[in-house]
Parts: sequence; C-alpha cells; structure tokens
Amino acid sequence: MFLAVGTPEEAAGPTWHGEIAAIVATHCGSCHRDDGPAPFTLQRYEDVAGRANFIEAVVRERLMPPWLPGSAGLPIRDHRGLPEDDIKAITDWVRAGKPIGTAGAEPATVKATAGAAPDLRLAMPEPWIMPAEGGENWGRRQRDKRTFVLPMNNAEALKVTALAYASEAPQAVHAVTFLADATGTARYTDDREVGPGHYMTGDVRDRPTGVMGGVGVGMRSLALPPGFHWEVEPWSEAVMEVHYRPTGREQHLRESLDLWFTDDPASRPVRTMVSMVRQVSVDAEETQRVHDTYTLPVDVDIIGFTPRATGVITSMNLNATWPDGASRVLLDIPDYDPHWRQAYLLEAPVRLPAGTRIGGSWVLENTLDNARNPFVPLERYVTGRRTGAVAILLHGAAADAAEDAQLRRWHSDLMMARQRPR
Amino acid sequence: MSKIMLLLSLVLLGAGCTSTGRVSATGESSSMAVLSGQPGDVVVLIFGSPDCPISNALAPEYERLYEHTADRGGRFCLVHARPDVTADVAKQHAKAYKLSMPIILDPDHDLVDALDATVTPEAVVLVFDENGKWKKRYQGQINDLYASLGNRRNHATQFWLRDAIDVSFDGGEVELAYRKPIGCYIERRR
Ligand code: HEC
Repeated sequence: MFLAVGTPEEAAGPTWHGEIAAIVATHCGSCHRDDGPAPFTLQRYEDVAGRANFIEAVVRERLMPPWLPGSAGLPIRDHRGLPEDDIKAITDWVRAGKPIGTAGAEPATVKATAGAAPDLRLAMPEPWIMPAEGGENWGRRQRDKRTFVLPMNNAEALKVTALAYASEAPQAVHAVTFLADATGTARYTDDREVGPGHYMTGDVRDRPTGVMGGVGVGMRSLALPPGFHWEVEPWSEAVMEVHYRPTGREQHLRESLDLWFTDDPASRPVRTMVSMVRQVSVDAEETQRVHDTYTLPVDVDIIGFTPRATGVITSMNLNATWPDGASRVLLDIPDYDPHWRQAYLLEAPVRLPAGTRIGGSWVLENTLDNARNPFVPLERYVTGRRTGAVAILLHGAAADAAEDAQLRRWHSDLMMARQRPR
Repeated sequence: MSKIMLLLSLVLLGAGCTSTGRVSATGESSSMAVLSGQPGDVVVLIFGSPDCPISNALAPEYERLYEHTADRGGRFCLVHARPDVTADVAKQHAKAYKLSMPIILDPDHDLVDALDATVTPEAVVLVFDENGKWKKRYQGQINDLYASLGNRRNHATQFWLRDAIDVSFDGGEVELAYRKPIGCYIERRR
C-alpha cells in the first residue's frame, strides 16, 4: 500500500509561517503592538503560541477583532472583521498543536504611516491623573469620562480636514468625541473644576460632542473625504470628551490633538444632523425600543456617523426612506458596546435628496441579561439630555453649497423644537 | 496563631507565600510550598498575569484583600501563571500596580495543575484540616466587575472572594464554592 506522498507539514493544516502569521499581522497587529491600545503584542510566534487557546476562543466568539457595525448598512471605510476561513485556520492550527512550519518571507508588520506634519498641535499643558479604579458618580452616571478643553487661539475661521488623537495611556482611553466651541461655555465649565479637565459632558448647549466625530480604540485619526471640512469659528476651543477604563493603577493622561486644515474655497462644511430621543424612562427588567424621525430639507451628501449611547442600549440603527418610498439601512449596530464606539466614515459619500426621512431607532435593555448594563443593581433608568439620552449623529454637507445656510437653520429649529416637552 | 506555630510555619513554608513584597525563587519547591500548612490555616491564592488587563484591573482589590487576609491571620499570595514571567518582570509589575503581597512564580505550572486554575484572574481559598492537608473552600471569580469576557462594568457590586475569605475564617462553608472565573485563559503546558 502506498501512502500519500508529502511531508507531514504539508499534509497537516495551517502553520505559523504558512498562514497564521499573516492573519495575525493583518487583523490583530494594528492594535496588539508595542505601545498600542491593546494589552499584549501579537507579533512573534511565541506571543501567539503562548496564548493560542485564548486567541482561538476570542476569534471564534467574534470578540476580536472588535467591530460594531453589521453588514446591513452602507459600506464603511477601514472595516474590520475576520473572514470565516481565517477563523477556521486559527482553530485548526491550535488543535494541531500550533505547528510553526518553515520560515518563508517575513510577515508584514504594521507600521505607522507617516503623513504630512499637522497644521496645529494641541496638547494638554499638564496631565490629569486617572484613578486606578472606576466608580459610581452622583446620579449613578458613568464616572469614567473626563472632558478636556484646549484653546486653539485662532484669529481666523479654520477648515479642518483631518484630526489625530494621541493618548498617554492608550490602553485606558477608548472613545473620544470632539467639538469646537466658540461660545466660551466649555471653558466656563472647565474653570469651575480644579485641575485639568472636568467631569461634565463635552456637549455645549444643544450641540453634542461628536459634532466633529470621534475616535475609538483601533482608529485614532479621522480624515474627511476630499472636498469636505469641519468649520471652526475664530477663537474656538477644542473640546475632547474622553472615555477611559481604569487599568488598576493610576496613570497620567496628557492627551494631544493634531489638526490639518485646507484653504480650498470649494470645500464644503460638514454639518451634523442629530437623530435623538431626549428623554428615556425604562423600568427595571424592561426592554424598550425608542424611535426618532426627521426629514431632510435639502439634498445632502452624507459622509459618516457617530453613535452616542451607554451600555443600557444594546442595538441601534439609522434608516433612510427616499421621497419615492424606497428605503435602506444607513447604519446598523446589532450588538452595541460603548467600549468600541467610534465615528464611522463611509467608503464614499452618499447623496440623499431633499424630503428623505431619516429614522433612528434604539433598543434599551435595562435587564441583567444585558451584560453591559452599567446600572446594577437594577432600578428604573431615567435620563434626559438636550442632546439626546440616546443619539446617532449623521455627518454630511448640503449638496449645493448655496443651501448650507438653509440646512443649518433647519437643524437649529429642529433642535429647538425638541426641547419642548412632547 | 501562636508564636511557636507561626515560627514553625515560616520554617516549613520557606518562600511559599509568607515574605511580604518578595518574589519567591522560581522552582518546584517554592511554588508548591504554599500547599503545606498548619491545621486551621487559611491561604488565599490569586492566579494573575502581568499582561492580562482583566487581572490588572483588580490590582487595588488584590491589595485590599491581602491586607484583609493578613489582618485575620491568613496568608495571601499572587501566583503568576504565565511561564515567561521572570522575577524581574514580577517585581516591576508589583511596583507599577502597588502590590505588596508575596508573589510566586509558577513556570512549570505546578500550582496551576495542582489547583486546576484555568484563567487569570482566578482565586482559590484553601483551609488546612487537622492533618495539615489543604481543602478548597472557594475557587473562581473575585467579583462581578466582568459580566463576561469583553463585558466590563464601571465597578463591582458583588464581592465573592471577600465573602468566601470571611466565611473560611469563620469556619463555615461557602454557599457557592465554585464560580466560573472570567479572564485570560492560562495556556496549559500539559
Ligand atoms: C481595534 C483594535 C484591536 C484589534 C484589531 C484586535 N484587538 Fe484584541 N484587544 C484589543 C483591546 C483594546 C483589548 C483589551 C480588552 C478590551 O479593551 O476589552 C484586546 C484584548 C484581546 C484579548 C484578551 C481578551 C480580553 O477581553 O481582554 C485577546 C486574546 C485578543 N485581544 C486577541 C486578538 C486577536 C487574536 C486579534 C486579531 C484576530 C485581535 N485581538 C485584534 C484591541 C484589538
């Protein structure tokens, strides 16, 4: 009898040098690297083989790589996700005893791409000391956030095309949302608390933080598509609402924000349209779905979204219904986790005509089955916010620059109308 | 504990979980020494890992529980379950996280195997019977900071290990003696 010809390694499934190193480099390396946002480096064979069963479990259960949006929505730039085949390769490799295989070409390691130097760098002059542990604050709100306000000292209006955030404690800081404030409100709040930053939210009146997007764990920079910018009024202050997760030891947060500008007169300002529910009240053990709709007054080119909600919310989505009745999902987050939230930019802008109805919907689960419910033991969850107890921010610009003023006025009226009790 | 017994146990245990803030020498004899004791002794072990965020998040709680256990006359040790943790790494980690309890390295997984630890962090509470043999009183989760892998609350509301320690000192049985721990899997050697 003849046996199949081949070395045992060929006959066996995936090896480190054959497949696994490349899968890990592509899908894990951007975060699990030295000084990255994730806990341990996953680069060398020993790094991965030394925790192979753990890795196998987190990829099989789809905990890693982290990514919230489902496939029903519009295509999102820098989408993360591990193909089924790669999950199987990792599982097979671990079951086969983590074979190393024969070294071929060096696996590609992820290197930070050096771009153009920023036009403005804002940095905290002194660090804020993050506590070693999380805790409960007044009103049973999440304590683990801090807002920092940094003067931009800009005598002229600015057109921001990109931003990049850097943290001194990258493994502690997860979601950060941005806003530029020229009203002095953020500064006033900040000055009332001793030391850098303040505990209050980064919202300014009825403008939610996140008007200038937000960054998350695996994505610390945002670059708008060409031809779009965020408008910053003269003498503004950059407001950064920083959500952190204490790491078990006190750490210094001395954060910085890099900004890039354009002076292209044809660039269009990105406006933020807010889908929100101002007040929610959910009994203990109750699951509730809440909705919001508005109708666009002019043609708008949308470029992305920033979701805003706590762990009581377990799913959310944003839909568009065209004037002709056709509808589609814009953003779908079937299993929401505030820890992994960030702004999502579309692969390409999408035009929505005037008269398009935008519908937001959120599911709140004030139960113990919701493992992310921060409010344990359960009691009635009641909360209200001028900028929405739950919200999804839609970023876009009037298709016709001449209609920008109309879009702004309409949105400001919409926000005013929402302050009245229903 | 009487003075003479304290002396005796110090001699018997050597580096096994008695000397404050010190990393024990590596090797079988030292990590296993923690499994010997005098009748009535209570020993609390935490399996941890310097690069597991789930374990590190509890560092302040470890320190509080260490003080609490010591106050009640028991022994408390942090056991590093990863084979690649050297004495230097353990010392640096203890300094960064302000941990002052004795630390044991378990490079050959003698303790991991003997106590069947599966993840970090995982707690084990042992009491020694009249023949000086250890019995498990509690094993598993320390508190409810993590609801499941990847799901962390702002702060813990249930303190299972603390309760188990108190019950063990009081000579009782822990109501739920095993609570499946949530944490970084220990890559078993055998
Ligand atoms: C977007 C960044 C990112 C990517 C990509 C990523 N991770 Fe993670 N990973 C993290 C962070 C951050 C943590 C720390 C735990 C947390 O924040 O919940 C983590 C934790 C882990 C853990 C420990 C489990 C835990 O809950 O602490 C394992 C194991 C892991 N990652 C494996 C992987 C593997 C394997 C890949 C690639 C298939 C991967 N990760 C891709 C960010 C990332």
